[in-house]
Amino acid sequence: MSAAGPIPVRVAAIETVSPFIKTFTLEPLDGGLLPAFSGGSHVVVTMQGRDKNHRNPYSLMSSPYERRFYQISVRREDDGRGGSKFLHGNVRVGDELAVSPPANLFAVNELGRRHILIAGGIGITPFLSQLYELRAQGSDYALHYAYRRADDTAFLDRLTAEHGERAHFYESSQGHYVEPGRILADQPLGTHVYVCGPEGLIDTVVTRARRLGWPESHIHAEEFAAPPSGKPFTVVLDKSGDELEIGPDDTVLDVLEDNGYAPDCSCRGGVCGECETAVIAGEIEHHDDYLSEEVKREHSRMMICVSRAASERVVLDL
Amino acid sequence: MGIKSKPEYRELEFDGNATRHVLLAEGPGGDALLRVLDQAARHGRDADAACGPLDVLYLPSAEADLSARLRSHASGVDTVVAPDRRGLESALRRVLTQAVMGTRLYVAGSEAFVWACVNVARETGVDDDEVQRERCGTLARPVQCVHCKAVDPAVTTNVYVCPGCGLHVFVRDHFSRRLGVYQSVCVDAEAPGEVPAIEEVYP
Repeated sequence: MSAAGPIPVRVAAIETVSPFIKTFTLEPLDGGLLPAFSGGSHVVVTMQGRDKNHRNPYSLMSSPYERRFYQISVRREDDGRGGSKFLHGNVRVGDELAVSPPANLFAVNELGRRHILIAGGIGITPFLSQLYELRAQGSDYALHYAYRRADDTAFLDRLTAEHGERAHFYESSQGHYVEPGRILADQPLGTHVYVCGPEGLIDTVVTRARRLGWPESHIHAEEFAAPPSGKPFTVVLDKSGDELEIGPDDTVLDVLEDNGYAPDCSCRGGVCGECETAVIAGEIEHHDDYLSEEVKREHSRMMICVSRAASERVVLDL
Repeated sequence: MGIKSKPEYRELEFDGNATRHVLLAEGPGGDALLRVLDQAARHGRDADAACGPLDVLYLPSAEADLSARLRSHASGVDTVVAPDRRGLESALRRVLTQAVMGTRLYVAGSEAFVWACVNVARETGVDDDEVQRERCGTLARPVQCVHCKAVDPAVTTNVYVCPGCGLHVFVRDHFSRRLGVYQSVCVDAEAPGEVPAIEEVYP
């Protein structure tokens, strides 16, 4: 099995976790073992839709010690670009999909003395795989899991059973809110905090940690940001001379891939830096968290997984 | 510039984001601590808020003894003047076992001193970005011979005779953060006996 290319998988099981969330179990087509991964890793799932291909990154939530299958949980985003709706509506047990080899932008720090995991909603998924590691290694950890309604999450019983008093739950519809300031105060040296969930939760946790004097190396965040839609534009590839039309819901990366190009990429969320591309002409509407403000102002580079053109045409060094 | 592992140092600067401050110095490094204490006092007045607990751990050296000035400057600050390196290291361990996240370390002194402190801090889970480092006084380098692993804590010349194996070894910029030492390699391996002029380059 090639480590670099997409891995063909078959949907072995689909579990409806809540009205909005389904868990998919994916097995390798060849019946062998999938690549090993560490807790917090994600894969990019490629789906062949009727009109277009969808490629969405999802955290692996299954055990890193289990290589016969991967599991992902998908929240249906009705306002999204269609990938999650496709998985919910069109994918059946037995269907074939492809996943990229796992990559990790949200790993547990191996040198940490204590680990505080703060999850909001579907942001629980990367922690589910990390928790297998933390428990197996006998680490000192605590999980703080915030969600709207208990009915919407099927992970509660399992988390309680496996992690007991280390797991703390906050049901916002019942008036219980996670309080990062209290959680982060007076933590011993060597503590790391990890947050995944909506932007607001991430901002609160990161700001709070910084205000308490936590150094950046101990603050870890993973946002589930889908590429935004926008005005259509034309991409000109300087090297090949190709001109590609980017529709309102497309990304440059997706269109490149649909046309046989294979640019470097990993997170598809504007954070990992793999798809950084030099811009020869045109103005960029930046949506990434990777480039510096200075570079963004110069319009000299763009992250093609999330950013769009502000001008009608943009010439890329590809 | 060359080698990435060569550590960089900068002037210590009071960090208003931190919630506790541990100041460590050896000999002439005491001046850097006096500066940080001034900044802390100014920060306290400007922000009209206490800057969080401060600890001063100081080790006088043959180069300088600023303990009297540190003691008188830092009234209300817990100041420990240690008799030797081991005393200072155990005082640091004591402080850090009670410290919480948000603590910043400020270390000023020779490279050997700075990295000894960094290593004690690392044992308690402190990362490099929680420690500010300023080199003061001697430029002498702590160096480990790559052949026999003997460490000379203060090398001032480009080439020295390794106290462990007796080879003439050249001091490189290659630095091990884990050990807190530069690396030295045999200088006349190709042509035994051809040793370049020995110069004092790290006075």
